[in-house]
Amino acid sequence: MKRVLTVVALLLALVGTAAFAQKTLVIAIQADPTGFDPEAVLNNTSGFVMSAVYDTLVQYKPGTVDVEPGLAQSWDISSDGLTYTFHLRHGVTFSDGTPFNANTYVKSLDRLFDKNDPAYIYNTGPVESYIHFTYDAVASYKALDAYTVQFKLKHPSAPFLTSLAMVWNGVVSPTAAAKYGKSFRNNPVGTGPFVFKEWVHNDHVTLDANPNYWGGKPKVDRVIFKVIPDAQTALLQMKQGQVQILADVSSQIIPAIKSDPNLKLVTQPGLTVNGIALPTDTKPFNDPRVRQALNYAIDRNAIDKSLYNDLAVPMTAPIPKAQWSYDDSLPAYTYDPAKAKQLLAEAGYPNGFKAELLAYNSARGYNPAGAQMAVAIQSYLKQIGVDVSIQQMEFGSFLSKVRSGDYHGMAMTGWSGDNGDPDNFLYELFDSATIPVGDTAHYKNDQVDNLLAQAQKETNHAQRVQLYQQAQKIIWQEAPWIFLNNTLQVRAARGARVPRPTGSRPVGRGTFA
Amino acid sequence: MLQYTVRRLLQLLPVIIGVSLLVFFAMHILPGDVATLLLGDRATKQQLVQLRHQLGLDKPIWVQYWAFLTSALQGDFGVSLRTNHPALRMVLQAFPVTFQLSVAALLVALAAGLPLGVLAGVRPGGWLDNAVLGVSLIGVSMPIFWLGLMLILVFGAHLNWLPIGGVLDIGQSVHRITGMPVLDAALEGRWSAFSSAVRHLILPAVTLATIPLALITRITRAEVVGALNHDYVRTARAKGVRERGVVLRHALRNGMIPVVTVVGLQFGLLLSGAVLTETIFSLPGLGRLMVDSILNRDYPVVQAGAIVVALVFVIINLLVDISYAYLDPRIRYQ
Repeated sequence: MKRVLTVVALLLALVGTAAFAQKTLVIAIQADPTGFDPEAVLNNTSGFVMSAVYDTLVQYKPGTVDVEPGLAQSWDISSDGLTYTFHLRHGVTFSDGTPFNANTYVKSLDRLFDKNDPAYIYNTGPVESYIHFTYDAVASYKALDAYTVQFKLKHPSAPFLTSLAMVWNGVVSPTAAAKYGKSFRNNPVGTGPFVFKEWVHNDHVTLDANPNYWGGKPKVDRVIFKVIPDAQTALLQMKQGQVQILADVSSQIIPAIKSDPNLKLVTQPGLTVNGIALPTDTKPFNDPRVRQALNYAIDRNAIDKSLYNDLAVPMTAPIPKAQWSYDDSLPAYTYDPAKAKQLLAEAGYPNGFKAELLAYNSARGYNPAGAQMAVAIQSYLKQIGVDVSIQQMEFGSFLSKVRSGDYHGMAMTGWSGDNGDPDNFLYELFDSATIPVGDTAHYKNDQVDNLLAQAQKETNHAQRVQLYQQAQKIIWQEAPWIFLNNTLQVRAARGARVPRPTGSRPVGRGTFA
Repeated sequence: MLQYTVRRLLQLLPVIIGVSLLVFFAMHILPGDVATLLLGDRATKQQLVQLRHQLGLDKPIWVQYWAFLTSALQGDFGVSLRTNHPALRMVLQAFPVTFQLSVAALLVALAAGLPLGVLAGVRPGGWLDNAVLGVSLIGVSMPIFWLGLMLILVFGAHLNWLPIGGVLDIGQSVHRITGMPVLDAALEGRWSAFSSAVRHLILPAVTLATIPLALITRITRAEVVGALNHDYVRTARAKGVRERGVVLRHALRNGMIPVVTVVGLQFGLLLSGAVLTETIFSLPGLGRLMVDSILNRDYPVVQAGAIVVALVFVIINLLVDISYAYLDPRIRYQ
């Protein structure tokens, strides 16, 4: 799940352009959202809409994973890391009139944990959430006074604070949650810059500006998220001015956007990793020399340039550069087919070997090139004598096969960071506890497991950095993956000239929608 | 006739049950389940188990089917596993958009296909006949996806005569009465919405009409050629009936049965999902809903959609069969 390049950040990008006279902002999304309860719905499209409707206690500083005040204007953490005290912002109201204060905030948490709460979230339908991920370490919470909330933790958990900044922990109005019950996910109420107006399924979502927003009145009166499933159609509508932002930018239209002076790509360093998981428990992949050989066989720069339109950078560590504790001292896997062949020979495979590669056939956030990446890898591996046959599957079937634990071939893999904590990458992907669901390479290294367990409990930041760097060194050396690249988060926007009014009528007769 | 109609309508029940059984088991054979897809890349085994239990997916398949059947017969198709909305409601929201599109496409196909077929048929071998045959071959062979994009590029982007996608202008909406934007705008009496809805319908309807158009043209032509060779035509001409009357009143009417059959079949096909057209033109119709639901293993929506489509198909076939009796007085039903 990736961090969301929020609507607010995009608005700032557009405001920078001259004469932004639009009253309605139209954003194209590729698929229909599935609901707007941040603790029950997890996909990125829904998250994008929710980021305009809800605020979180703390928020990420734009472009980073550091947190700054949100609905909490300040906070204190006890020296033992077990008590978090948040001082809430004054004068904030939910869009249904409910005041935001410690009491209502606590009530909004009750619906997540209290089975007897009338708005108990697990009674509202299927819940896909980060509730456990965020709050597992929490022993109790309460309101100390009208604007102070205190969390007591069972054990120190450094990721707790950064997790609170995720859009999935948006603060909902407890009154609305109780009022709407099961259909709260169709009637979101938050404190954010925009207020939900309507949702016509598979067609569009409309949000109106919140005139009383604590962060200042938004620069547009209305935001419409329009569902446009075809990338070319979306591009055409953006060229015509009916759409100002493309939330999902498909690789195929990137060259067209780059060559149009009226359009621009808005990018943010992604918190993503992308590569091929190697079955470390199966011959010949159980020999680290074989795995390293495969890493030396790939020309990452060429792939990034041609397949990813220069919107990706080669991986130089198991975690992305933007992630703190990233170790930049690791020796890169350069493009060196001779060395690759040598390593294979040393391992006993001078003539290479045959293998199977499982590929999913759609574009993912961490891999906009989809199955083409597998084809590129296949051609590079062929040059060193490794004959790879690709089996392509639709994503649902792919996930099910890879996670069954019975699959012992190579598989495409990747991950988008959730909360900017290294544990979110290293534990999920390389700890033996997550085999085979997260650790699809079936990689097991006791030393790594120990380092990660220690780092989860450690409160001292510098110490954690140390532990994670040690773990990274080992993982990088052992190469359980073919480490490929980190992709940038990309949106497209109209820049430079004044956008035309919405609607397809010619400018002369046009009016604002 | 009435008895016949009632008997045919009674056949609906076994058809529905058969369809639901097939769809149910086909969906469950597919690898990958909705819990995995919902939770995606992040899913602990524990979360998967919990979600599956919540959705009732851990019960034996017979139990699941029985539960589905009993509530379906009462009109309750359950809720979408992805969005928690009632499955039948989602299908019934998407269906009118596809219905509107299919009707429009068939009207275009008939309006162009019948005259072209007649014109080609009265002079077989002539230049018009060859032109029509050539064009209909192209129509049947052309990929819809490509044609749709080309039409958008030319009429939408370059000439700017017609909109690029959607059912209405962005920001415009109509009060939902039937779910068909053109009809709803007309019923509301709002001219701007009506004209917007019609303009948004033109390109997708034309795109979708190409195959039915080609088929209708060819069949009409064949029927006209065949009919014009019959004795009764010679008689009509001998009686002094003008050529136009000969062609239209005598030859064409007798040739309508195959045309009606094709129209009926095509309508059913179009309704069951003009997926490509709906995707290119961003129309929130049933085709897209079905494909997305299958890929997401959203069983209740797939079931509801399949059954609605089967129902409509059966009814259309019935209407087609009944129409035969009116077109050809020799046909009688007991």
